[in-house]
Amino acid sequence: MARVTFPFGPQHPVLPEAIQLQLTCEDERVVEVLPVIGYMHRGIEKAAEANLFPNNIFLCERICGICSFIHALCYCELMEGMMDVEVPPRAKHLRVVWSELSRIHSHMLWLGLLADSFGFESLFMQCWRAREIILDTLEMTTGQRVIQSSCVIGGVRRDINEDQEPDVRRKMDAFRKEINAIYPVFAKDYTVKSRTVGKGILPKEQAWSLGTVGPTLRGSGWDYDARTLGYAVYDDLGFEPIVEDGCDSYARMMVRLHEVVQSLELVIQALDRMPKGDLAVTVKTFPEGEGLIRVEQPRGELVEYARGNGTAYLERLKIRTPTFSNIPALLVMLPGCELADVPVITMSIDPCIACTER
Amino acid sequence: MQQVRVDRGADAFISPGALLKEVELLASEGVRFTTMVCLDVDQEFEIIYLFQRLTLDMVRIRVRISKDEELPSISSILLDAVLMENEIKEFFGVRITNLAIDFQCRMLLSAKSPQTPLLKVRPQSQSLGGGE
Repeated sequence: MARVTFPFGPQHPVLPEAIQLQLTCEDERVVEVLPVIGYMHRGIEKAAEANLFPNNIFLCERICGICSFIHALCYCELMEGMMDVEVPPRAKHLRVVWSELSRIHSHMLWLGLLADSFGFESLFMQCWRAREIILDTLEMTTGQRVIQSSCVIGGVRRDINEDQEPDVRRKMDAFRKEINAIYPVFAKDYTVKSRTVGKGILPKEQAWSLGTVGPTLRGSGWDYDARTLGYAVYDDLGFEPIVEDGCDSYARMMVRLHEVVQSLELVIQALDRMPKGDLAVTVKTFPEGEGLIRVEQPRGELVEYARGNGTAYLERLKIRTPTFSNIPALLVMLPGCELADVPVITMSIDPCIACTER
Repeated sequence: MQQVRVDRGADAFISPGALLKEVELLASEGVRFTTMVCLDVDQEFEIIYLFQRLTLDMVRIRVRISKDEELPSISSILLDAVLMENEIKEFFGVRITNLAIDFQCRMLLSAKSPQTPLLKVRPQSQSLGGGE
């Protein structure tokens, strides 16, 4: 049978950002795939070498609009570790609150996009409507819906005060009602299952050996989540990774769906346990030597490496984002699938190209 | 808590010739690739390979090469290293050979982009002290 190679993207209705998949098909079946990136590289690692190191927080936040807070958190924790800065407990709890709110709004965005990718428009709109509650909460507590700029080296810039806390809890209750309505549709609806179950199989062994992270890895039966490594106060919150063993698009979707519920509970726990006290400590030193940190983004493990020389400028900042590690898995997931399933399978890794290209 | 500060003394320093054998050994133990970091250190590149064990601990290997020396790709052993190797080749000009997929320095940059943008631009007399 004749083979035809054609581009899927970089502009495609199902792709929120620019990535191209060069698909080779025999009839309607995909036999080869080559992911092509390079449409939106911004040189952030280079720019980080020219910035004063505290200003890199603002740069890191702009790597990605969907997980901007966790990018800032990762960089701040890296600098704090390199300079032996002890962050006040209240700031650590606030970091968990905003991290988990970010995770919820990222997953809700993705769940909506997934529904959109198989034409379930009402479910798409329901997800994004529920996500507005989370964005409103972020705006209320940080002043910003997308790029919060609330993390600083040594702590946080903003507080959730006693007047705001009941409002946050009320919003979480409102969101819980929304997710309780959405959950059974994703978990049980015939349309959703017929488009996701058995699609984009990533066997457990290959999920590990191909370096996948986050829900892509946990949907193939691995219980690795960087939150278990200990940063902020996840150690104290009894955090356990969500794992599914279906190895398909449905399993990856269910990991994210369960994580939305889990993150909601983590927000409440962090609020319940938040001690009174300072928001930040003053940092008077410069980073020196080398540092390496892993934190959990909505899409998986984010790895940052920095090398300082005791001045206000870093010699090197390396950022390994989760999608960079998840793209190779498409080489396993897509060959053998029907062309009509390419959008759903591609979406199942929750590709963030802004992160990937930095 | 995570150990953020990197202890260079705990890392394995190996020669480029021993790289593939070392990576094959790690892969046979179930270790997987995490990322690579390239450092421009005077007349040399220092490349840090980061791997992850099944226990989630990190393994670090460091290779030093002169700037005109070739470095074998590990993508034939661990395919997911191919994107990072292409990035390092593109951004630093490291001469990585036998890449499983070679984007020919056009993975992230275009023909009109600055070439090898992450190389340090430093005056002749300035030194970073050899990275020690």
